[in-house]
Amino acid sequence: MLYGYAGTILEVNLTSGRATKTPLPENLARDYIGGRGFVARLLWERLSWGTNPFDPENLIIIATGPLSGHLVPASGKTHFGTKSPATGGYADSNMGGHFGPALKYAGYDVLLLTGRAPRPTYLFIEDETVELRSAEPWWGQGAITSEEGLKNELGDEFRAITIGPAGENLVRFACISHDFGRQAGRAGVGAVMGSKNLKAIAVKGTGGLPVFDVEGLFKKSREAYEKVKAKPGFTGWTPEGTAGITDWVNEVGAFPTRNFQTSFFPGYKNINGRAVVEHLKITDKGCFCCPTPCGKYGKAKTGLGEVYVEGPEYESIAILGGDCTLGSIEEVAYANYVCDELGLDTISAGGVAAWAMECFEKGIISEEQVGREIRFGDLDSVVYLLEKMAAREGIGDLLAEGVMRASATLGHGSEEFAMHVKGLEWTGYESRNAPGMMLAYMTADIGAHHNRAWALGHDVAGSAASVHDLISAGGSKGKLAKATVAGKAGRVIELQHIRPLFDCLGVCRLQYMELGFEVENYEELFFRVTGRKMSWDELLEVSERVWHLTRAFSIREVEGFGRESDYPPPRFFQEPIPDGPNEGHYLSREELDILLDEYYAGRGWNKDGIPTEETLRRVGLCDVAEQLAQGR
Amino acid sequence: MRISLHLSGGLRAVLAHLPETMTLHVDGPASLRDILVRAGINPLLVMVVIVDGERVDKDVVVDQDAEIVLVGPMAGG
Repeated sequence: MLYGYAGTILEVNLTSGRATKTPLPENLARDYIGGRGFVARLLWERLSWGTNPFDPENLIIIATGPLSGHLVPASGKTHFGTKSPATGGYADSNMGGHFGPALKYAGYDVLLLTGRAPRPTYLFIEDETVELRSAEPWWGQGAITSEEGLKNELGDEFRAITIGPAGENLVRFACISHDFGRQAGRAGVGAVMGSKNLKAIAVKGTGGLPVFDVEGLFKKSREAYEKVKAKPGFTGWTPEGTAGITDWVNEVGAFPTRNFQTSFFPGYKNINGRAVVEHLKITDKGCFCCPTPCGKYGKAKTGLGEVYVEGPEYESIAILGGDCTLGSIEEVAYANYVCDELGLDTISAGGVAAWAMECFEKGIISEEQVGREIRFGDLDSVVYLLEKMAAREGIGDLLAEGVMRASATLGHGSEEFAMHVKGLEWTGYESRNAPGMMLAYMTADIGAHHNRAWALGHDVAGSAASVHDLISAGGSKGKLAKATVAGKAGRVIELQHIRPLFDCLGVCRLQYMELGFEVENYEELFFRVTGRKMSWDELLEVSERVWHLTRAFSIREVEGFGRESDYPPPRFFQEPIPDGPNEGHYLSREELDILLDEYYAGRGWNKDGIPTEETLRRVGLCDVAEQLAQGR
Repeated sequence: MRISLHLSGGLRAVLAHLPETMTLHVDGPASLRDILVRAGINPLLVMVVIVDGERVDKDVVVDQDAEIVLVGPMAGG
């Protein structure tokens, strides 16, 4: 018996409406654990080479982990994978909430979707019952409105994921929404749902899950909750959630501002965690079994209206706030709500809007093309652009392609400041003086995303003045020294195994990464749930295997994928930061090459960033090595 | 002044040589930044400071015994 797992893969062909249930293969659970690991392996095995992301044959894989749905801290994570319409390569994105646990209680570890429904449809799952139902009443409606409609129709006990108009209109960075404010936001997973005419999935599960040691799990879980709540930082972390880091990111000069033109936003105190608490927050909102609820549900009132919204959390603050330079937390929250309802990833959509506003400032796009004047710091402009993107109307049809494709179409130097890697827009950390973080962005498997490896703290530790120097200078404020580049790759590789491991297990990483909840706890909880004794290092070996596999997938699917795919936009290696704590700093192309050379060597990849056959065999990917070598 | 410092996991990840809890005796009053420097902690690495249960700015001056929690760098969601 596979303890911890529901034990079944549910595959639904949306074209035929046929649902197939197959046992979860034991070797898949053994070699890939769950979540992200399942997504990566099943995409490799099941997707035909060269499938267009919007072809019916593309897959959506929704996978839980072995700890998902159990009485383990923050075990509400669900993973979504597909071939990305944003990058053309590997995509996964995860969200918290309650969907994954519900899916497991219904009896399924993995939901695999193929085909295209002939008309707007939603997938209804109630334990054994699996049906495709009409979504006509909600097609064209917002993601949050649609979730509310589904719950009104089916009952509150159903857990639903939905897409908004952006997903329906194949916006390449459309997201999947859940729980009125949680999103699988990145890499266009919502657009692939839209391409399948799949508006929503509603799940209700009433079953149980097999646990290896029930009494031991209860005991260890209780201890785990107590340990988390006793951690230094617990009381400092929870009230503001991720928004609480805004001040620090500005202090260290890493806050994206005006489409990453600079890295410090003078008005940051108006959009920080304290502003969320004082001006928006009504209540904390947590995911399944979460001891540290980072969601902040609140109300925002602006000149454009009044909305209830979850968030904004840090990434939305950074991109809608700093990067689009919206000056108040109410305005950021309002733009956040517009994204959520339209089904747009706040990070990519905000990044695209910022890019468009810089293009407008530089005269690369005109008022006639846009349909009105647009400018940084103006909520009207931002909301206008978001609505155009989601509807693919006018300029929005170009913007809906994302900054990589839009800048390639527009030209006139707009590619220089199209802030992306591999086609995925950059998230909330300006990295021109943070070489570890820069390398993490460059090599993240889905594109410019921070959650594969967050190295900024280590960069600051390396570039801030020594404590001895601080004592001599009598303080710690002021400029940061130019960071050294050499020696960063090892730490980035280590982090790229740690964070994604949580995505395999099906738990949130915040308790470990942010509060220091020790890894030994996860070894113990994993054992009590599954009966498998695996050390943290052994678990990390699985995470490493997945890392090489996702790289291999993008090599397989993206023509010419390799070293050139890993460089950031020219702004980051040509333009010194103009002001703030990192004024004058940037990383030259030569320094980026040092980072990549060390990284590839550390990974066991060749100079072009391709995993060697020896490396793939070492991590147990012999079949992948053979297939890549044969080019099929 | 007797100052108890408690370091979060995020901070210990970048200052692995320091213990989770440490006690200092500091002549007061002193700014938090100065206290951190005396403890061998670069203030730039501290994201959030909580003094006796209240979140405060790093420029705040401490003038009596205090229980201080230091939260280190951490990422957004």
